[in-house]
Amino acid sequence: MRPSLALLALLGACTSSSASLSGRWLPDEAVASGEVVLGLTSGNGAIHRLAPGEEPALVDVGPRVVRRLAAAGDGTTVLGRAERRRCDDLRPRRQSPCKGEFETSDDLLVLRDGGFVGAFELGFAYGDPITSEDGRWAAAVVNPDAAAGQEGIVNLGSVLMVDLDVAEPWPVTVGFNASQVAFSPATDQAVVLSPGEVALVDLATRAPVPEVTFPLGLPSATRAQPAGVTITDDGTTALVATQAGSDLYVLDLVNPRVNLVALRAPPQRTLPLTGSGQTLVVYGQLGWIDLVDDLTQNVTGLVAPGGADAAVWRDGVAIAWRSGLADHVFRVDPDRGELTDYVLSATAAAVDVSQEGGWAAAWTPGTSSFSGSRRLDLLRLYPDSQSRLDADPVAFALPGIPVDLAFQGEPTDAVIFLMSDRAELASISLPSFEVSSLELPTPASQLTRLPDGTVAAIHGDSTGRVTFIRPDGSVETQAGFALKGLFDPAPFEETP
Amino acid sequence: MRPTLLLALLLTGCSAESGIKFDSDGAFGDAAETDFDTGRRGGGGGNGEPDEADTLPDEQEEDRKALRPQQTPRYLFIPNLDRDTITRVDTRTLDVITHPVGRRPRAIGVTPDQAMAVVFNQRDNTVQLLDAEALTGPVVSVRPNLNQLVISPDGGTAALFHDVGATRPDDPVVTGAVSFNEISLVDLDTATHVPLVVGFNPKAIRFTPDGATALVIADGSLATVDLTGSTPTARFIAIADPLDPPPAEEVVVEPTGAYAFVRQGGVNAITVVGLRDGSVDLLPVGAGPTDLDLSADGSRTIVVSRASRQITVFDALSPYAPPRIIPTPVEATLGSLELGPDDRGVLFSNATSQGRYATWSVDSDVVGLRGLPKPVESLALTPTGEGLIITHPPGDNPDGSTPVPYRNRYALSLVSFEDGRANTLALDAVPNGSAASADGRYGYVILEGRAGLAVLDFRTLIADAVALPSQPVFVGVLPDDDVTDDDQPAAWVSQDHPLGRLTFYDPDDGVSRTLTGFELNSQIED
Repeated sequence: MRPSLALLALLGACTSSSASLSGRWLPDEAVASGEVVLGLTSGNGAIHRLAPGEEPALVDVGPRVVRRLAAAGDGTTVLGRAERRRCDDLRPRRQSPCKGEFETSDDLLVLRDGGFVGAFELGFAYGDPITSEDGRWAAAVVNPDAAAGQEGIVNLGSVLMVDLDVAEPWPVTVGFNASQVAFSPATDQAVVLSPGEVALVDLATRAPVPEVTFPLGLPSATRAQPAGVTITDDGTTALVATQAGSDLYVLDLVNPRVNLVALRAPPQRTLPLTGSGQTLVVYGQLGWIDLVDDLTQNVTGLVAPGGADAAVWRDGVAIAWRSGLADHVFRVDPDRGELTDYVLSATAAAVDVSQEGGWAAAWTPGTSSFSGSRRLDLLRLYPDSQSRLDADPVAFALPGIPVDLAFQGEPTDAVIFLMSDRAELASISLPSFEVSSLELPTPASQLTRLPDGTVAAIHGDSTGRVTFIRPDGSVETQAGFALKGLFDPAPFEETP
Repeated sequence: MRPTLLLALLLTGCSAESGIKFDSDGAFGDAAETDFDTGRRGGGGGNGEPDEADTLPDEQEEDRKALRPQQTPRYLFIPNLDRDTITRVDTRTLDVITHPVGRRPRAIGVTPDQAMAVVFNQRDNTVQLLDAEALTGPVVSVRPNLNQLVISPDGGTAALFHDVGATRPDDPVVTGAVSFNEISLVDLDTATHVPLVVGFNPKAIRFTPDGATALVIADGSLATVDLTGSTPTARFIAIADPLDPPPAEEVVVEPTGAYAFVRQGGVNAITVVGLRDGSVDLLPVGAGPTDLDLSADGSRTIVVSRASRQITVFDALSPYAPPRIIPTPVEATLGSLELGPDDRGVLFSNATSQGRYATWSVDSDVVGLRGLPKPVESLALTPTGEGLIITHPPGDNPDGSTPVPYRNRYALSLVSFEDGRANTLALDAVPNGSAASADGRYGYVILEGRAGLAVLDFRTLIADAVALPSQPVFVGVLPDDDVTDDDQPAAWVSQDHPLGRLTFYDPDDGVSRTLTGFELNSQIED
């Protein structure tokens, strides 16, 4: 499963207070945590630690049943959502499940580099946390629908900030019904969006109230509803887009000031281009991409046929495209104010960009949302090249419907992809475009890239199977690890 | 020349370095003058020689932007009439903050030492005396039904009065007993208010350079107010028949404060008032005086008489000495005078549809006539007097000499004073404001209903357009913080936006920067 989809899964479901003794390996929950892969088994909710050259092991997270895992942006920090179970039945728990009073709580786990950092009770009223890119902080906002069904009083005007180094939360009073949180990449600060206002929160001192609250409109008028926020790489400015408004609110976080930048339409996404002093704005199907100067807020417009709603920033180059419907991929050079238009050989649903930004792959996975396509376009994204040839994607016809894709090597020297119901893994070397394949013992459903360029193929075998493909081409498979602890009774914490 | 004449005012008054006022700022130490906002300059009549020019309409004057920002070398203050706030722009850092004030801040004045901003809240009938830095200070109640604010040159007094000609359609309606004879004087040091009754329909308030005396000009009377005592007291000087006083049109006060000169509607003479002895006399100036000015150093009083086609120059300190009379060409009707800092000037008329103007120097008897492709609507000199900016109405020259591209359109001419070279631009909207840099290099014009700024290079006479995100309201030029370098100060344009919008344009690199939403800054909680 791709990390972004894993995060969505984490955000989606809710926990159950009942446990089943039956369980199986959950391949879609596997995430990278530094040089290891963490995965889950259902039923006992155990976390498995898997690493090339190491024996698979369970991660001890105490008397908890883990339901979901999600990776933070730093690639090492992982958050888990778990039930902690308490029972006042003092009979030996190996003999029977709890016969007395049974309580559960909703805990948030913090794991880093494959190890357990700590946990605390989050509560069912809170949605899944948002993490900072560096994995240092997280924030959970109240889910009003979930809060309505809970006992006790829930402060709808608060967010829960989390210090992930020590897994400790603290509440911060902000505007009613906070919806989004963004973390500063340069300072220990976060901004919290609520209807009509934006709060700037100091994380370093764990302040319970915001440092500054910015209005999104005058008291005498209807205030704007925020739609999204990003913070510039120097941490001095927050850019807030609003629903149905084409003004971008530029908040000076150092000397609290508000400026509005008139955009050509309501933005779909804003992306700070770290180090360039500019922010990229995309508008969905509107055929423009804009660069906003972080200092002067001047807007430079670039024609982008078909528009874009997704973008990434890698090593001096921004890549933008229409998610789910990309006929073009755009490379934006903010220093030159130039856009290169890559015309794809076929409409692509997904675009993946290699870690260092040299390559991109446009493809359509076979998922519940997309029927999949046997076409794959590889794009050279060399930032310094101005050759017109670079804008010509290299198209491939695939023998099957791809289901996942990963860039291998450090730096990238191959793209690897899985195909539906095929017990093999295909590889295209870069930049030679030499095609090869690797037979797998069983079909795999997900690829996960580790920091050293190793790719882990996650198989769907119920007892657990992972194949590691190292950058040197060596392969290691680990299997059967999901049986560990699977038949142990669900853990309880005694409540005398 | 009255400071509210559209382009004349803006071209000079918006450049703080030039030291010239935006509006009636009350100072007359440097050839100050006042021309009342009656919107006209009367034609002939009375005891002058009749002339066919008598039948012409009045010289038209316009004040499109009565609500004006105030600029100091450090700050620019903009009143936000509908939002009950003022905006302060730091001209060095371009930091913009908005500060809540009373209801309907109709006018802002800044003391000469730039330490205090005086905000007149018309709906509250108060003035706020704000420390320019901290934006804090006391609130002082004043009389109702006022609409004008002037600050004395010593910064000691703020004077408020009701100018009928400056009434805006959206001014609050005053109910009950309404006076048109009252002024309010506010001591800015003690924050105390003294109301005074003066003549009916006061038109302007001027101060002596030391701020010791205020001069209130009304129809038929002058009032001098002694501000040195504990309580201001007024002395009235009748300057016309009290039973049928002509409307005061224009007044200038020579720099020593010895004499004031008043031009009154329908009077073919200038009234000279001895401010020290209260003497009042009429000085014949020919038929139909239509403009009254002082030379740059204030030593000479100049009257343009359109009907009798003459210019009359008086010694301002010896007004009873025989004046010098210069005839103007019979080929043109000339009723208005615009003087530059070197006493070179331009004569023109916007009461006729002639496409002509004339050059003249105060020390010269020669009036040189020049042609234009269209009639004149307004005319102004750049701060250095080296360039002219002339706006033209849609109407054309009656003799058919208007070139086809300019016919039935607004137009704007950039003209070199020296040799008359001109670049006339056809416009699709009426010019709504302008400003110029203090060194006269660049001019800036905004057009009504057009989201753009016209940048005029007076060296090349080339005009370029700069797009703005919304419709402009005011235009100005920031102070030049180093006049020894070649860097030009930025122009600023305030624009229509519910949350406030300012664009700064740097002519050096052609880059503009827009700040929007600074009204929200006053709502930030920290």
